[in-house]
Amino acid sequence: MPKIADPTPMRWQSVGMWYAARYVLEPTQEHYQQLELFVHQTVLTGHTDTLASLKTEWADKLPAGTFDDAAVEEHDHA
Amino acid sequence: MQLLMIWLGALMDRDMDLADAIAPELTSSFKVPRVKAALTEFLPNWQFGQAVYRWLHVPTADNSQRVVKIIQALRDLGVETDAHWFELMFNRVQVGKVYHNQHLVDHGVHIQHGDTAAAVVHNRRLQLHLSIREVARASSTSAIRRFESGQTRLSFGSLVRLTGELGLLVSQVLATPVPAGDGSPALLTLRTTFKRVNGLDRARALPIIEQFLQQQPYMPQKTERAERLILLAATKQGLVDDAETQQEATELAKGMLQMNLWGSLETHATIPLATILPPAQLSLLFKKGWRVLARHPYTVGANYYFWGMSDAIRRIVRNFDAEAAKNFFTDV
Repeated sequence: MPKIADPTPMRWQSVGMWYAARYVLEPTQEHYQQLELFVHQTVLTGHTDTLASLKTEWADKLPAGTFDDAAVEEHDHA
Repeated sequence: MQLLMIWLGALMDRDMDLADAIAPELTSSFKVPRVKAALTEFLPNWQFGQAVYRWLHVPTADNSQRVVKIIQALRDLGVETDAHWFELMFNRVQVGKVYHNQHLVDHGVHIQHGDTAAAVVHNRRLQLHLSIREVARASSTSAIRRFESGQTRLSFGSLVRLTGELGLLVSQVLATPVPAGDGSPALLTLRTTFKRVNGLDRARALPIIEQFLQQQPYMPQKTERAERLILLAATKQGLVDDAETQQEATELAKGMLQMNLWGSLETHATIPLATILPPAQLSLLFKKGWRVLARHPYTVGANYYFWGMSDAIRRIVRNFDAEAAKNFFTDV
């Protein structure tokens, strides 16, 4: 699933949901790193809508700090 | 969106007076979470523009690196079109030079909104101060005159040439039907009806749904049932999860699995189906959809497929046992 040839917001969001949900189901180091990388790329590329959805949807099921990198970047960009 | 494009153009020309003048309005428009839904698809352009803007004001290696990192992130995720476009743009910025043509005169032309293809073409032609004769090579003077006055239609080839003469895309002329402005009701599409009833209280949505369904009296019952299911799912109350709905959903999914080309109905249908079907069926459905989209990237309403996909993931992870959920992720 995760390759985003045509990066519409909905598509980007569903890829994020996929990474987050997969880690929730199988919390391995590898899955977490992939999720972390996706969050980082999402912040870098400015898909803040996806980031907001992921936080709302999964923050309670993900390790604290998953979105810390995002917080730093967002602050940096403000 | 137009303002964002002008701003990016100003950055490419290093026209900092213009860029500085526009930036505050854009900053306000793209402020999260207030950013409007229609603008979200331009968030990456805004992000890229901001990085370039920062580099133009403070041309350090760090700021340049930030621009390069955005391009690299897009490339890593397979978004080659945007990566390539941003790369070309950044190359252009580095050699950009502001040039103002002092001979340009602002005629202050008022842009008229057109409700029909003919009106869009007519208004655009007047806006550009072009006579019918000047755009006639797209067709003929009389054909264009008759087209603009609604007396005839143009062949697709002529329309392509005419829009080209006027600097328009054919899609801008043949957009979603909108009210004609003369009081006559416009034809509703599934997409526009879906948007209208999305999140609306069911009691208020039902008359809109009926209006949509009644305008197509010759529609096969099977299609009408599918459209009703899709539109009811979009309402605030969603679908009632009973045996009848289950049956409708299963039949709809079965049909979609047999199709190699999806249209608006099928892409929209993934949303109600995501809330009704069990994980194993959803897995088959989304796998099929993925293959269809891979083969036909410009499938109408592809976004709705991804909307349905997000809903399916959310529901499966939260409402089903881990094994069923894992199978969904392995399969899709």
